[in-house]
Amino acid sequence: MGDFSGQVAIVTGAAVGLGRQYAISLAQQGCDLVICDIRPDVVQVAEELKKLSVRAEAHVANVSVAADVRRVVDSAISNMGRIDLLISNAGIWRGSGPKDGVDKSLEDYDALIGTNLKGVYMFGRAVIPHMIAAGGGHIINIDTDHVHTHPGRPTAGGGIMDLYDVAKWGVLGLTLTWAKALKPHNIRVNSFSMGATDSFMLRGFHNHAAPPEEVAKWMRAEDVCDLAVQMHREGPTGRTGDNIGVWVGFEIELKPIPAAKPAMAEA
Amino acid sequence: MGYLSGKTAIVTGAAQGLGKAFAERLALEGANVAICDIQGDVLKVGAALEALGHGALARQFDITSRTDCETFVADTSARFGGIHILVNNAALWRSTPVTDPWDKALKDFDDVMNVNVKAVMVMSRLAVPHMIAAGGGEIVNISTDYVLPARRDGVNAPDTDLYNASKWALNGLTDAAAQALAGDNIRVNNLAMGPTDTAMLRALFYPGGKLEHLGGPDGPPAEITAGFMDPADIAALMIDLFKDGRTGENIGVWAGYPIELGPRKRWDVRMRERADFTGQPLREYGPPPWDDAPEPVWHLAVGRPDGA
Repeated sequence: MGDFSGQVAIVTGAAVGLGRQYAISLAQQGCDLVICDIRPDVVQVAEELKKLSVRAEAHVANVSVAADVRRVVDSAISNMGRIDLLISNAGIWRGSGPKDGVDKSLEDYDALIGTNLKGVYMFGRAVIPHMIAAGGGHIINIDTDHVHTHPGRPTAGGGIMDLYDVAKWGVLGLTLTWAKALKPHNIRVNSFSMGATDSFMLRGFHNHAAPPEEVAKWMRAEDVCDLAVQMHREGPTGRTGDNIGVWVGFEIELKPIPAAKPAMAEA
Repeated sequence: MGYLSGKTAIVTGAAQGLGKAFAERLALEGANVAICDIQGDVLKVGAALEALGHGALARQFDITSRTDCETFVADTSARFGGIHILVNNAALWRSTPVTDPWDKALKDFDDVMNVNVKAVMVMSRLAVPHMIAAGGGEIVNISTDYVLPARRDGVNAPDTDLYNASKWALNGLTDAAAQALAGDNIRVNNLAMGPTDTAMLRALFYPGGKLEHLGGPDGPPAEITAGFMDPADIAALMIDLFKDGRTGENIGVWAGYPIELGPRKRWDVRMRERADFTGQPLREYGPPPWDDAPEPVWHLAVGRPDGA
């Protein structure tokens, strides 16, 4: 029995890769799980989780569809009774750039902003009232190292994924604002800005045929997901409003909890 | 002859406040200006500019209408022969407390993002081919100082998650466009401002933040408005930005500080003021600032090297 027993977490995009690993890492700590994914395979993941002696339920759901978001959150409350942690992991990738035509851009906007920003927004907004009623909770949003780069690396995905970056910068805006708005309610809100991690998305870049020597350069999903466990374990007095940089070539670790920033410190 | 003579600038949301100030200053520098707004006063702003002898084209439409944007950009290019400057100024502020009812939350997302992000994307996509054809240009997106955590904590009032997110999101458009369009002599920057004396800001002091209350009782007290920055000063800073030639930066403008461009920023911190958002100072990461921002091949101040 782990130290998260009795708690319930929602993980979005949990059929594969990092999302699945978040769910497993949490289940290993005894956390019950409600998971969703647009892929039907998410149902099998729930079966795997149950073998770890936790309660688990799966939903085939599209995070960019409001009714799907409601269904997952409402079901979590009615079947599990509470939501202690939300990990908004579901995300998609597409290339886009400032020279694209308007038709393609609008299509990319709907896809990328719909899933990567509106999906995060809707899931957060759906769970927040329940967390307030319960007296606390924790939201972890998944960002990108395009936003919080490792030292010396330019921001952005190099000019060829502007709408992906738009969504991810937007997620940071939500994270910071929610952290501030929800502090009085003991709800913590943090995010991860990760570099290359062994995920379904990154394997997809390589057409799921990345050579082992390439995969060996990436961060392991288990290590990144363990950071989420550590951050959740900090409990109600833990960090909030933190955007954790997790980068290849650097220690995969949580920095000490930052001191509160003055509202208007001298530069 | 102003240094923008023969150039054409588009300013969105130019019926009042910052947009109007940008249009007036661009016209003063000699540019033809094409302005639009959802509010009809934009036509008066256009007429006033024309009365002063400036080339001006004014249209009233909703910036979220793709077809209206397309017509506006095409008409601007046809009338003035090319587009060199785009100021994406139109924006929507709305109170969006996290405890709002679900249906409002959904509507607010689309309303705020469609104006503050999607329309910026559409207008930029439409203008870029004209700028490339003209040999270069300038895009300015209007952000907020909340996105520069060095002097703020990264957010403003906690009931504005969508407005904040929309302004943070602009970093994505600006940063990528600066990199992708550098070879086309197109520079893209954000102006990230603190409180500026605009209708949007003054309206916040009235019930519901509604513009129609403007001028009524209970407006912002004089001691508050005295701390607001003047839109004309921000417009002047924008001209300095064009003359400077930098690209891909968040230009921070804080009330109570000098209104100036400041030094160029390192590539890895152009979009932010800190190496991360946890208060760790940049110097923790060692080497002194380096600046490999490319010198502009040309910019509007000096004209193209081939004299075209």
